[in-house]
Amino acid sequence: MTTMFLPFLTTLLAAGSADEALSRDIGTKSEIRNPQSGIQDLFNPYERRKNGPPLTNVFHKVKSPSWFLAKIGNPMSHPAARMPDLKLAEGEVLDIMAYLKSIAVPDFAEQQWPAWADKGFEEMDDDELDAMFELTERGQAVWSNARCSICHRANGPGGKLVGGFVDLRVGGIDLMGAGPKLVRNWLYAWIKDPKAYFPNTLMPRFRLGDGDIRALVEYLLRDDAFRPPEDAEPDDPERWKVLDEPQRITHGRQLIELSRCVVCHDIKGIPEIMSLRAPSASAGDAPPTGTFEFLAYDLRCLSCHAIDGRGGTYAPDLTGEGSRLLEDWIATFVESPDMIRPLSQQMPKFNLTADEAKIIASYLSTSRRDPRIPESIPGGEITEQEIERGREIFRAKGCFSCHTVGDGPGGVVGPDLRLVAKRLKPGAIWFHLKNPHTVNPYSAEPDYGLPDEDVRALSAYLSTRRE
Amino acid sequence: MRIVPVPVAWLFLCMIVPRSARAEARGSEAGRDIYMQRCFWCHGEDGRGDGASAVGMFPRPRDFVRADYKIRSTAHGQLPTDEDLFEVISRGMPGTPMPGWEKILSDQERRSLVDYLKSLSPRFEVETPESIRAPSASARAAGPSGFAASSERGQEVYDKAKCFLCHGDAGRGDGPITTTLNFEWGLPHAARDFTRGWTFKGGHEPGDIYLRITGGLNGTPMGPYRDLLTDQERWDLAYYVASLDTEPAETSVDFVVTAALIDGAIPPTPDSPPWREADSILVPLAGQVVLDPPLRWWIPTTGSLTVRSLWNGAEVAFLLEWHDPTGPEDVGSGASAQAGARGSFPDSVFLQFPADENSRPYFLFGDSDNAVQVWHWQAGSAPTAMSQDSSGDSAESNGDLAEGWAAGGSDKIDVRPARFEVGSHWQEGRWQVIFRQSLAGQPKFEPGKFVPIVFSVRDGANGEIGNIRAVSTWLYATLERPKSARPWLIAMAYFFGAVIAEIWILSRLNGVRIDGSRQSEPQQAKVEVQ
Repeated sequence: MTTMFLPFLTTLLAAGSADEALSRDIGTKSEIRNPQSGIQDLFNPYERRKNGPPLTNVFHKVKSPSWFLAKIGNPMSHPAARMPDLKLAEGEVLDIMAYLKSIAVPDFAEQQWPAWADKGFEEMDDDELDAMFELTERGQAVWSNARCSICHRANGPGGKLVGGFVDLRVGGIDLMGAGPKLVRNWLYAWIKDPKAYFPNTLMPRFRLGDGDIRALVEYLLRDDAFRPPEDAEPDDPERWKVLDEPQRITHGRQLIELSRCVVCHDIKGIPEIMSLRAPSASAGDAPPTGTFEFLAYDLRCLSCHAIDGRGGTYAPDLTGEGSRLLEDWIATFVESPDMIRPLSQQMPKFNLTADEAKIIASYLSTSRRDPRIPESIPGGEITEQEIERGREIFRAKGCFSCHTVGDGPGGVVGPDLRLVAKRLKPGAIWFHLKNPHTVNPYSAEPDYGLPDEDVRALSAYLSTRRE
Repeated sequence: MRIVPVPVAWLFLCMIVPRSARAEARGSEAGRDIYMQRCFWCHGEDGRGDGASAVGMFPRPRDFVRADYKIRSTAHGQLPTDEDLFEVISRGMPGTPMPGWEKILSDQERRSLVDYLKSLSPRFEVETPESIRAPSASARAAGPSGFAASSERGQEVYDKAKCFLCHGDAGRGDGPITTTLNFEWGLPHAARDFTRGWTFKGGHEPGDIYLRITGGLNGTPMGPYRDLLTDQERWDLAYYVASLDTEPAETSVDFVVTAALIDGAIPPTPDSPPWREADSILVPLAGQVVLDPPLRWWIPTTGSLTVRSLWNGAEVAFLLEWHDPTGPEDVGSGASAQAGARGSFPDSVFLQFPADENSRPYFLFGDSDNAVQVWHWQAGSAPTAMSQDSSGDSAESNGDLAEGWAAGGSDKIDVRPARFEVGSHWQEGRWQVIFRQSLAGQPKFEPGKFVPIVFSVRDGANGEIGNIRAVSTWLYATLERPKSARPWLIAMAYFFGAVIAEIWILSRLNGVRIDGSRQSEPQQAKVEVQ
């Protein structure tokens, strides 16, 4: 009997060892993958139920109905769009618009705006123009502090991101026509808390104050960077009266059902066709405040960073980062991000409080550790001679052509190492130098295959770079 | 109301529960025994679809506890009827690992399994499904001409109902919704490829398709069309979809790829008549165990390819066609994508021949004793339509990669420039790639000689890179013998030669004239010849 079962048992065991690899292949769901035990799944916007934004209040978002006509009539006109061409006649697009207009809630996030808010440049007097320009200038500062251009493409200088966003399938969101397209009230509400409108959005909630949001709104609506090269002709309001015809609304509803818009969009009044229950962490329910899980949900960390193979690829993987970075440095950095790699994008400033920054630092330091990385440089105390020898190796190997150490000439291709000992733990520097490709296989840094005593000397030298 | 027996209350219930319910409970007990013998390997001990063998399966085995049944004759979102469950158990699910149990389990045993499956979800106690089976199926009785007309009307419904959004214009499952979306578990929403009826999980008869259209497939973007299309429209659509199922009719599974002999140049585009007229064979492909990265690749997206072959005295060519919903769009951020994870790599196809044509080495890259040569084509980022001229440099012009490999095991691959020419074309969910090589090159193709050949395909959108691929077994390629008059002339020559020889021999024998009895024979022979 036992012998009969043996071959089968071995098959089972082999299947077990391949489980992990296969679950990686098959899916990203927590049920299938088995993350480090005891650590809760973080919100991952890429695992969202629906790819498109909810359409229930889209008529409160877009100023001119002619935008819908263009968008629904020819979705592929946007280069990064994933919405398919529904092959609709213009009349049918109007029907769909009529339905969407009919479901918009009557009261939507109203704000008080200055009297000149709706005026064009030529209608404003000098005082109004001054106030407006002061506001847009401040808005521009908010735009660059928040690193909006990491994700958004605009039509002005400095607003074009080269190489695409986090995930090529997502694409940068084009703000080229944001000025004429977006409604002021909607834009304010969106920047204040994007997930209130679109629960599964990739966009973080930047903790901006009322003044900053107003300034950013003004900048987005006024600056040429967010306008197409030529303004469209003003809409004729008479033209859109047809959107209120009841038979259009009925037919539009039918077209929306046939086109299966609900696969990607939540739309009021259209029955769901996918009866699946949503998975736990990415369901959209906010985790309790004061936890890292909440901050990951609120700031959408996994839009850019990955942890345990889940999340974006734009920013460094945080899986074992607790063993590499010093806790104090993490807290300072997330509170006010500084340049590390001069040629790469810098992390946005989220306006975190000191407490929030500490939550992030302590979470990464305690829960996201890499068991391969030692705490300090192995091999006992470091001597002055070793530090001196490390300095020589740094010069001899030409490390300065890419890195700056503040000790002679330096390059800007690799991270700035002047303060590296304040950022990285000595053990992590040692582990990295042993073979830079263990940490990042795609790293441009060569693996010099240094002998152990050289690695120790170089790590010793770098761990003195703290001012 | 039905009652599920709880062990403690069992005796008590026996007294008050009606006979039929008790019989059903007994049935589910018998069903449980069968389930624990036959079903739990895939569907799991608790029926959650998580059995030991479920790991490498796509689609995953059904979770009976969640009871999201897809193959039903009931309205959308509802449970299946007993008959639906019985039919699926009996027939199995084509195109999936679920076998049909008709010949293994008795009718009674399968019925008791149905009872057991129902006992796994409390929904069966409270919900009453509503049947959507058409009462008379009037369109079915319409006769062959009626089918054609119905299918023609169905084509219009296909556009009206926006079926192309998922299933593609040609029905190859390459619609824009299906190629860009994942559902919650990161698995793709793979819409059905209508050209392969044998993969329709609920059967490919128009009546089956009608039920899927009417009631939808629970838990997928395939929603119900009962309220959106009329009954006639749904029948018409079912006939149209059934008419797209052409693969078995056009192809046959075979182990020999015979190159048809043609006059003149080998056409560079697959829609030219010689290619269309050439016989095609269907080559099944499967996943396999991969050493690096270590994994079991049971879920390749390419299940088969079709091969046609031509030769013209100077060159031999192979036309490979396979379905791939994403095509050249697969090319993306190769560096950041992970092997084996759904990422973006270029698509590839490989033809492998043994270096020594009398050997049959290991089917992937040969082995240390038996070397192989490999023709490799890899899609560029923007393949264009195949060039009409036969200059053969289309491979370079659209960023495609063509190279010849000499290999002696997967760790000993020597990449060399290609000595063959490739043209590629992707449209509406189908790759068409033509390989062409001079007969003077290696391997040596000759009429009547059988050269071993292996095909393999990598679908980049499925994370297939390196050795992760769908691969065939060894097949043979050969050239059709020339249709010249020579064999006839030779046969005639033999025939007349024999006759003349006979006459000569007999006339010699006649000349001997040993006795009278032999005299009559030559005379008869002469008469025959005349």
